[in-house]
Amino acid sequence: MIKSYKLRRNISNGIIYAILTILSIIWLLPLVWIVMTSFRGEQQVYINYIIPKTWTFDNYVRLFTDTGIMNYPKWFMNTLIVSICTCVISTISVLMVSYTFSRLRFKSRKAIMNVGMILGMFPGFMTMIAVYYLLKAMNLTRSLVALIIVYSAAAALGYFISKGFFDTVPRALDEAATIDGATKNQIFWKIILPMSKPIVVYTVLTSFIAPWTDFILARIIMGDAIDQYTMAVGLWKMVDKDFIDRFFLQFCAGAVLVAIPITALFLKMQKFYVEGVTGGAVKG
Amino acid sequence: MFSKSKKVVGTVLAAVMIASAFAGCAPSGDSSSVASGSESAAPSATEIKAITIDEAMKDADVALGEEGKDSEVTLKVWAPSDAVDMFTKQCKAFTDNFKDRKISIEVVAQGEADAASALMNDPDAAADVFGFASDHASKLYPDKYVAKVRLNYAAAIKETNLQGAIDVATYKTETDDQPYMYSYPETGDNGYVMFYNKSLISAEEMGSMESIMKVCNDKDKNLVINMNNGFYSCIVPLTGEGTYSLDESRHQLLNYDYAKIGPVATAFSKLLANDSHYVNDDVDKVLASALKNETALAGVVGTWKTKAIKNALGDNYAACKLPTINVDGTDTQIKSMYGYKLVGINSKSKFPMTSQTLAYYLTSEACQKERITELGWGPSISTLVDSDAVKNDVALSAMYEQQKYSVPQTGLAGSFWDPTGAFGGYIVNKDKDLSDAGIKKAYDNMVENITAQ
Repeated sequence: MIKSYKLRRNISNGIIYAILTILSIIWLLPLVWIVMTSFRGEQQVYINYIIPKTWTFDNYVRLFTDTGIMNYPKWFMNTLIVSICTCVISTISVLMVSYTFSRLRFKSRKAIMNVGMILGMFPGFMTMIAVYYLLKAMNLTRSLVALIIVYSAAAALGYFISKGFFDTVPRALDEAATIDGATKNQIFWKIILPMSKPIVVYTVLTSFIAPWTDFILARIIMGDAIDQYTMAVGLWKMVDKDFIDRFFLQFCAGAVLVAIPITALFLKMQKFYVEGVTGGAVKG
Repeated sequence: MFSKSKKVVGTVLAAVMIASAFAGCAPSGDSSSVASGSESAAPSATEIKAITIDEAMKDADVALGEEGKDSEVTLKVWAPSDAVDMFTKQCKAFTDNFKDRKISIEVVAQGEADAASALMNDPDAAADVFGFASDHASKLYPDKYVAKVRLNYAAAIKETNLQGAIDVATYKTETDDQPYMYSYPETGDNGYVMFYNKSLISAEEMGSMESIMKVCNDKDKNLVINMNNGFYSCIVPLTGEGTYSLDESRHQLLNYDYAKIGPVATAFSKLLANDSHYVNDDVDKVLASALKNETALAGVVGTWKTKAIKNALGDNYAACKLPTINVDGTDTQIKSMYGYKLVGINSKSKFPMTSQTLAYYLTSEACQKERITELGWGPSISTLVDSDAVKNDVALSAMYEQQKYSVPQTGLAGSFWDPTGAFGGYIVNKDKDLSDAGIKKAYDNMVENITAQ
């Protein structure tokens, strides 16, 4: 039995640090590997050592200049357009639906909420073939508009989290605003939203990341329209057996760049997570 | 006060939304007339006059009919992406030839391996003219996803192409009175050979599996063959003289004899399973790198990787037919599967005449010749097979050499591949039961899964 408290603490800390170090290596290694590979000079797909012997920036340059077959800049823009449009549409619709369910009382509100919740539990790709044929009937396949529609159409079904958040905002605020003559619409935009920054940020992030990383629907809808591909589909195409020997290093560079917009969005929005605490809003 | 006007606005908005949802549903042209052109090749009682490509290219009325005279012909062509530039160039030569007609052709990248399923998923969005591998023929022909080859063209093609290529292009559907050609032979090299590094192993040593493995062990280098993939691992049943075909309802029939296949499987198993210098991996992805790193000295892969391997090996690049393997004391030549690539016409094409002539042109001697030198694609036209261009190409000459020891890749159901791959993977996996009884059981599983209905 170890008597000294200090010694005991050091030993237990040592063990904890060792475990954490191993975990972080396991977690970081793939990321480090892909970043290193994206700067690798050796041209073949696999090398039998980990750290490259030659370093180059060429893979990034070629990613943006060698666009004859693999037009990465175009894919990047496509994905950005789709993600931003989807983000705006679904954020607004999710928040509005949540507010409605949280604040308004109307007939069959419960029933609609339950139906919405059940529908929301089916994954979107379950209906992908049906979605494809419906889009085809409307002549919309192989276009970015189709992707925006598909990603944002059912977004409002994910209302539970923000509804839960709105429920915590005291109704006394609504009542006070109503007495001052505000309509429900004004209450939503001027009272509830400014106090709900964390959930707005959360909704923006999730609705941006979903189309940014989706593969299945984009793959089905785009078919052979390689110019309309999003990055997920395009990057997958780069490591297809016909191309892997030629585009593998560009693929790694592309995979690194995918992270940039999401990271930027996170950094920009991070501070709002801690701001806008609703509790402090009801002042005397 | 406002509530009434709000309701009106809300109703109008809702109506607009519903209307806009249906906005795209307008009728899209005369889809009823689409299929008619595919029947332009109807058999006639009179003798069919063969039209060569030169004759067709000289006379637009013969080649294109009325298409492109009044309105523009727009065609989509699918080609594998490394060949998009080549096909674009050849399609441009085609449109330039018919200057008085309005034709515009778009070449889109789409690998031959996925072309058939992409077409079947949505024929309206698919290409008019597209390349596909011969094993997909059994999916495309019976339900007429592809149109018949124009009879005048077919008559000429039959005289110039390899018999094997014509066989895989020909089919008799339920409604046909006789077999017809349903696609244009494009290549005669859809198979695989052994690629190797000639600075590490000599051509004689490449002659048998035993000597290859000996060199691998001496030099501490690997041999890579993907036995998990049915396309490659079918060498086991085929070397054991197995054959296959389809019954009338397109179920797989196997003419396999375990008395012959068993010893071959045992020979592969004994030679490879316990040898750490044999690597069972996805050759499409790893072989070029492994040869470049010199971790491997040889490997079996399809000729579509020729360019990548040539770049990887440089001066040490070499290829040969598959080696022999010692089965019960006799050196037996390994047999492989051998396919062709074909060009099909989407039976829903709106411009069947132009599509037919374009496919005919793209598979003509001049275009095939260009593709030998530029892309290393093996020709299906007999005179080109014997040409110097092929003889000087290491991979192609190995390919046509291996063709003598191969079974055509036709008459295969979709159920063939995975069980065959599983069996191949089993016999080279040292953690499995590799006794005679174990291999027999894996073999029985394979046969049962392939022929299950």
